[in-house]
Amino acid sequence: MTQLDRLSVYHWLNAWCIKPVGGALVRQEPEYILLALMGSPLKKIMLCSSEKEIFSVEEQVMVQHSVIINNMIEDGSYNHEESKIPLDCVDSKTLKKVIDYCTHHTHHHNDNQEDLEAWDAQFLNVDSNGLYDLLMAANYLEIRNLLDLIYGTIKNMIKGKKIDEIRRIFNIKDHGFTPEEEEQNRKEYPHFY
Amino acid sequence: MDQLPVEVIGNILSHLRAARDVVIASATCKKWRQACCKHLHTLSFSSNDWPLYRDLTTSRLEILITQTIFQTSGLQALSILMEDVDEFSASTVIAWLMYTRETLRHLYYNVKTTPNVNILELCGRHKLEILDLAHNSISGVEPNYQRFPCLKSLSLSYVSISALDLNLLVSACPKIEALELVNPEIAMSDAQVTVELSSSTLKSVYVEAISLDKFILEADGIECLHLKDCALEVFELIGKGTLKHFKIDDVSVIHLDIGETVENLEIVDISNFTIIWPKFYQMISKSSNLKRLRLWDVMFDDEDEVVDVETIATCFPQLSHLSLSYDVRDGALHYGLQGSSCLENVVVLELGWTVINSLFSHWVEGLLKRCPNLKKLIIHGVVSEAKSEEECLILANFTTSMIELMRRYTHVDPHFKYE
Repeated sequence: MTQLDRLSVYHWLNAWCIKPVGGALVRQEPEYILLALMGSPLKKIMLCSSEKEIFSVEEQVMVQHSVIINNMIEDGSYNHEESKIPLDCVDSKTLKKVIDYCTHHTHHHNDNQEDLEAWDAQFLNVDSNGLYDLLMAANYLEIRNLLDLIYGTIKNMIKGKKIDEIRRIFNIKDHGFTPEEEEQNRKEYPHFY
Repeated sequence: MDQLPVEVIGNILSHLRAARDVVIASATCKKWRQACCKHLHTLSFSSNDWPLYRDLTTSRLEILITQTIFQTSGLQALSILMEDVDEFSASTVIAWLMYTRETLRHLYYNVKTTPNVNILELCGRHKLEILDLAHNSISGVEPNYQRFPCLKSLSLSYVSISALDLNLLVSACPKIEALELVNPEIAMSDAQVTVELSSSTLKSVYVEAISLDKFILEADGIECLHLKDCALEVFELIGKGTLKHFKIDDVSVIHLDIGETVENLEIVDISNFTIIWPKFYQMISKSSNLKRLRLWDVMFDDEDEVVDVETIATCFPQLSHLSLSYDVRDGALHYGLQGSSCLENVVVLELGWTVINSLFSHWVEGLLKRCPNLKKLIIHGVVSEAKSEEECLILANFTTSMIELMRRYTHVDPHFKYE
């Protein structure tokens, strides 16, 4: 048994359709628990930012949150021994933050709601550019809960605001409407304006 | 932020949901306008979102909703929830439903339509997953050609429907998981008002304000059943013992049957009910997995009956939350606290009174003794507006005893809720 390396354990479990979720196993017969202990959740994967910086992160953490990374690991295109996952559209600063988010939520998923929300609020206390970078990264990696969090924050930024205010927030310098078109917009929805 | 792709902007607008915010945001620039036209998937017209809807006449509102919907394409979720509108005209509602029928997955609609519109016929059946309807009527359900293959959640409030049509509708939804019926107007052909529903996929059923002779629910996979403010002669649940969460609140039912196998029950919540203790005990005594038990504002059919801690401790060893509020009399105190078995796993204890008496603090003390691992104690009290001198005295004595008690049970966190 001790000869088995982690990858083989993973494929073995996969073949039996047992999905380790957050370190816990669906079935709990002794053999499976033993396997879980052997294949400890501290196995790491390498993520490579656009600036060629390598980040080592627990596989479980990323698999739980990112659909893209989960798919890459599942279909076997990621070789644990050699490769790293290149993320050319995510810079180091943003990647670090994304890893931070996923790690916290995996390790603290049993915390009470208020604590998690407070942490999330603090996490998103970034400037407009930072928010953009996080949004694009979460979108690319398909991290559902981070996306919902960011969309929720953006929603609160826009809700109830006037058009000019929204343009300022989103740095929209050239709106592309002619004065006639803008007037038309107003006429269409006089009540909303 | 000006570099966001148009699909992402579509998601931002969809998270905004409220029509007014979506329209304003989409007027910021051409890209956002395009996102609204092509990538908006959720739109909501709700009187809660924007109070100024009520300043518009109904026809003005209809035009507003129509033009907003018609500017989108591929809408997946549409909410039209208007509290102050009496009715929308059928032709307009038909237009909204037909325009979105190819892509709509969630529909929330609560405005009466005149003349009546067959919403089931009009909305896209193939993709619909959530249907939440109020103040409309449903008739002529044809399960043979009107099937809802994706419908998971059905909610009908103040809807006029016959018992037969309700049965047919549920059977036309092969994947239905959640059913909510609030104050339905059930038309019956003969004298006895009976509703019979059958679904092997239903997991959660909520019924409120229904008055029937017989309600029979056949659901092999049901997990959660909640009845509120109902008057029934017979309620029968036919299943395979999958029920986990059972809640009844202000229900009058003469014959209640939730089945023989109740091993999976985890939460039982009974309030505003008259319990026939032996029958009730027989119903849930085999639920050894019970984690939460709440008997609130209940009365016992036989005045001498009590809920005794010994029975609770032996039958429900996994119990973690216990909530009790009933008239504590001498009998309850004496017989209820007999025995020595402890509620080992109870961490939260909630005790309440509607009319305080001097026995209450003794009862609290007696129960505290039997919960060695208690973390939280919550006292709920009803304090009458006009307090008699006697009541004030009892309340004062109670406060004193509680302070003394909490000094001895320092590991317990007390909370008081008075209303």
